Amino acid sequence: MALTALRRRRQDAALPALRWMPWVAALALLLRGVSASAGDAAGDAAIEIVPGRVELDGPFERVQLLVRAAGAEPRLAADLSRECRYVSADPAVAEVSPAGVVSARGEGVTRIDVERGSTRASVEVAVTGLAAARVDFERDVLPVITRAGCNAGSCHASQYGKGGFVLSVMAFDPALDHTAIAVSSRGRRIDADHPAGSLLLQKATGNVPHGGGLRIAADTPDHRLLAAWIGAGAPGPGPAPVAVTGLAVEPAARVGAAGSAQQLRVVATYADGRRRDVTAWTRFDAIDEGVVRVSPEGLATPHGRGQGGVMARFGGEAAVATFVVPYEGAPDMAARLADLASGHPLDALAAAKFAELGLPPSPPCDDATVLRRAFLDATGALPTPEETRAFLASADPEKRVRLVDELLGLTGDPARDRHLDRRAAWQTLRWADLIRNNSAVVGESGMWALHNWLRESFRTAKPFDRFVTELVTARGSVFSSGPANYFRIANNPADLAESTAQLFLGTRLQCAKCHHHPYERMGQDDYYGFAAFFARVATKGSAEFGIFGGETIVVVRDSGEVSHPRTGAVAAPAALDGTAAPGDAEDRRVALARWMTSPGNDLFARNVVNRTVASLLGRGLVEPVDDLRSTNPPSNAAMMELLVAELRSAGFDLRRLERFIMTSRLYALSSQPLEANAADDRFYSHAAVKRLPAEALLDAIDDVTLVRTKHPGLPAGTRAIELPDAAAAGTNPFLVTFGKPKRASVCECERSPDENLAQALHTLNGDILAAKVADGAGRVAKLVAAGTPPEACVEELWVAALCRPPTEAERAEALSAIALAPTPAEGLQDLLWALLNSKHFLFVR
Amino acid sequence: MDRPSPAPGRATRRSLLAGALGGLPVAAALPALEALANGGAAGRDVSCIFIWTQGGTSHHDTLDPKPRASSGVRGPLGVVSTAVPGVVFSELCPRLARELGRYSLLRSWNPRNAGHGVADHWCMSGRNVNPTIVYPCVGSVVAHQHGFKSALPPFIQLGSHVDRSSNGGLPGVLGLEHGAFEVHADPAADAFSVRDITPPLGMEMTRIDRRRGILERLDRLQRAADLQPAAFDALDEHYKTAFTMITAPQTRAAFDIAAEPAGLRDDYGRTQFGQRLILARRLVEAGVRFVTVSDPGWDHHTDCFAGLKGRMPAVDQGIPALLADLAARGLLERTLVVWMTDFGRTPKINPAIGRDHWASAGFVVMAGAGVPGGLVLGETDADGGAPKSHEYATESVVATIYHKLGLPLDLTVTAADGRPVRLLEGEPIREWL
Repeated sequence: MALTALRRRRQDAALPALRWMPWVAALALLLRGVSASAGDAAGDAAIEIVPGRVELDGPFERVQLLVRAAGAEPRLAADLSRECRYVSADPAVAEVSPAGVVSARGEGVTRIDVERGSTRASVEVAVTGLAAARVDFERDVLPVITRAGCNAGSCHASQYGKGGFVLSVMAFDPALDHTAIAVSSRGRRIDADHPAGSLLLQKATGNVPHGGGLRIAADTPDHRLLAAWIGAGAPGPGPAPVAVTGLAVEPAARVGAAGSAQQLRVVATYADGRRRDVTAWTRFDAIDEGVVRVSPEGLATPHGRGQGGVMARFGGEAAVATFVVPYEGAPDMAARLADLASGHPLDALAAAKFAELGLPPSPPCDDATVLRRAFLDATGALPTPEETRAFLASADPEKRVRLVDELLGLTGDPARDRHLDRRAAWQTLRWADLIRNNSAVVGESGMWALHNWLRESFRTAKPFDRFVTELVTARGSVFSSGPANYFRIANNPADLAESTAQLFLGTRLQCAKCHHHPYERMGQDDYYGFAAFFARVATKGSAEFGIFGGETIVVVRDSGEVSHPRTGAVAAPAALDGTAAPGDAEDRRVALARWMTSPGNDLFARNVVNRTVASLLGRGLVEPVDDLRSTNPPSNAAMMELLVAELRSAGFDLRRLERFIMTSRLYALSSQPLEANAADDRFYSHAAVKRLPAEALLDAIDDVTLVRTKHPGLPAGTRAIELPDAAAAGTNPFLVTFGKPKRASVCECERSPDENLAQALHTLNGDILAAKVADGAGRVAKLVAAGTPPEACVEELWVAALCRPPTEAERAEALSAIALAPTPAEGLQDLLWALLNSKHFLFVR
Repeated sequence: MDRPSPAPGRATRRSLLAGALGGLPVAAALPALEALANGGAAGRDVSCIFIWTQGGTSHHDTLDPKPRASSGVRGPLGVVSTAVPGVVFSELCPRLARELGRYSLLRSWNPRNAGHGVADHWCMSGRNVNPTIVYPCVGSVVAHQHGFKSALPPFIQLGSHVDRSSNGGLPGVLGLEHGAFEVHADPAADAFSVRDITPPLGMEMTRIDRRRGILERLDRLQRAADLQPAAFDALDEHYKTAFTMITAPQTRAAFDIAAEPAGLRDDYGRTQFGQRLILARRLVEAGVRFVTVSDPGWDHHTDCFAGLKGRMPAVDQGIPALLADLAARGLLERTLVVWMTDFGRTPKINPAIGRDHWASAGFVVMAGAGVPGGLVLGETDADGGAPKSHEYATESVVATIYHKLGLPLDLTVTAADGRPVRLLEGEPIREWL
């Protein structure tokens, strides 16, 4: 909470930014006319109405009109919908509300006139289908119920419903809903003879006490719709419902200033090809409340700066309208952008985004910062003092690129690729956390087998598609086949489907296990179709190592199915994009792996790109990193496409993707925020500072103090990043405090990046750090024993801990601290203690 | 994170129904004392001492004996009468029996669970284990919602006897920041010191001050501008709090259990359990909002009666001493004391003279903060196997704690992955409000 408050304060502080902006000219050029509203005061510019013709087929249909300046690109055109006067030429045929919503009154053709100042335009309206009106339960009734919020998870769709009335979440189960409304409790919720007196409507209007209050006012079209349905005998779902197959929100993107409201219009496409304005029954939610808010009617109002979105949901489909509200920029915007002009495609896309947002990037950081950042990011370890001195002394203009190649093992020269092992350990740690390698679950032998397979895979830079294929198609003894343990960590089709989708496709299936996913088009069919890929994996015992040997063999059987819990039908294996898998001539998982890694499936590459970006730049293009969906778009879509293409052309060699990012100037920006970009935590305008993860921090303290932690049961010298098991997350007090994951979850969020009080106490006042600093064989003791002069001691401590020499001021401060202590040894210990507690040590910055 | 306002009070059909039934007599009560203890309040100024006897303390052999049941159920222990006429406890609880006027006993708790680990998660959070989400324990919710009251952390756990295998007793979705500050050292030991709070390696305060000075000066030199990344601001806040905690005389005083009069320490019992209780009281006095006192060794599958004869005296001495001490200091009105354990144990004594896990009956003790004293709520059937009346599930017990501590019952927070999470679903035990 404190953190959030702090961040909020920071944003507020950044808002009163500079008014004078010469760069705005360049920006305006780029946006072609975003500032046109300035010359629009007279209000007599030509207007344009969307849609060009209104067709209302049925008594309860409604159409939202959008009015904007004619000729402009939709994403730049100011919305005039709320500034116009609407008049129906024949109110007996069609009515129009002050907000521009047209509804039917009688069959026929008429016209809506739209006036704004002296400008006029009109749109033709045709009303049909009133006589033969039939209210359809799925097409008409459920959207009203959903829009009113009756079937929200916190209301009648909670586990036990409310007041004995239980609906399915967002109407994913129409049969259940119809029974609940019209059949159960002896049909007491509806009264066909007196529709308005039905308990359903009495509750919804608040006429009788209702815990949910007023949901649907009397004498509204939705009320009339429900009454008409009840009056017709409350017919249930038809035998062949026409499903919604697509949803479009208009405008799909807007760039505008804060306060410029935009009415949204939502059109659904049905399986029979029919298109229908469903704005009235769409649920609108802001994706980032800090940037844009939205009313239940779909009026979006940007109020913060940055990039936000509004999610529109209807009929199990979802679409997003994105809003960009440029920041105020900075006087040196051009110079700031020029710093990024490197010719690197990533820098070009970053710069374009910065320009669009009016967000100046921070200046580049110095060599020492890049060195430390790259070492910790790529290998989880600090450079040695020798490596630091050599790098800083080098005059090679290409030294940063050479550094990245050495760290990633891409030099082609075995003598220079000397970080391979450490890097493999670092990558192994990361993926072992996510795959949840844990001896408490798979036993000691299984844990080691999986660990060794991971280490070997990363040591040999196995392409990521092959890595995942080996994992999800593994079989055999869990003692000898490391990846086979994947099928013991999650050991049933549902869990395997969920973890596989989340880890490698960035898709959270969990919601769809019990109901339609609230934010995307994924439903129970998709869930069980995906789970069916794992229906035939099984384990059997083996007595190869004795009856208590614990060996298990992962096998694929000839039979085994997953059934849909609602329909009971056997679910055929189907990929998440709906493509069905071929028959069972082969292991279903082979088909799954083929689909996952195929060029036709973008989720696979996007997922690993996003995770890589998050680990290097501190934040994914999509957050949370494993929640890729259409309603959670990347902060920079072009950058995502570029990196996906890059990864594909690198044959899924993650090192080359990392190299691509780490050799950009974007990666080497300073973490020092500017007044004008401090509020940004999405677009990489300044490098994100990251606290060293638990294991890397302990290793770094060991390296700096020269006192190694002995990890139980492992050879002396084993580093914390090399720990194969999750056990230390519960036993080593340092690692516990700093949040080493217990490997209980496939979510990267299990490793909490936030600083906390217990951690502060542990380094400030804990015995572990205190003992290492004062150790008789530690760095300070060695320096003192060698009679090193104070200046050289200070230099050594700085280079070891912060990977840079001290500044003049720091040197003076350090020397006076040593002089003030009772003995030089105590002074050096105090100094080292302070360095290890300083931000320049605790953070990658 | 979001902090929604409490739900407006509203009459539902269910609550009206409950009101109608409210007139039924509870099993037994002591009217005078009930009135006395009702003076307590609920709200954010109420602190909580949560006693957790880990493993599953047998209800048959402590607070819910069945002297008329067959010997295979009854066991070898006799009974003693309590301060409430007609209510008897096992002979292992003479002091708890005498002091029943200070607390309420729920005999009709239905744990609906017979697994260790799951119990720790469920009893401390009010939620069954869910593989996709870790629900925060109440102590963490208090820390998250109410924050610091003094230099001391808002949530402290004494002892390590909380089973984490199903993520019990953790901050879960609220984030590490709101976890318990754990003190594992034995306060009954002469050399009691608190890791990370007591200065390491016997370091003098002057040296700590010197180090702090160096750190502050280096930090100023490292700082390029007034503006710094938000994570740095957060660290600054934590360091400030940590230094205050380390150096505040209040902190050292709170943990300085040796400052207690020897006689009072004797009253609590010179056991690890008794001394943890007196330490818990000191911590509450010093501004800690929620203290978990954990105690091991209650999983008596074998030799149940010998085991209980070993474990129970410390509890029988400690809890009454704590309640008397809190009352004497006028703290009981704003200190909620809760005693829970994993679950009940089997009515039938097994061949190893033990009792196994029992999912459908157990007891809960609550005192202070307006919980009526001398109230024995509900009863179990003849064999102590299932509640017969006033059955309450774990959710209700935890909802009662939420209510007493001023936490909204419909509290919803946003998890790290963006999901809105409602922390609790349940209604408080109305007889204890």
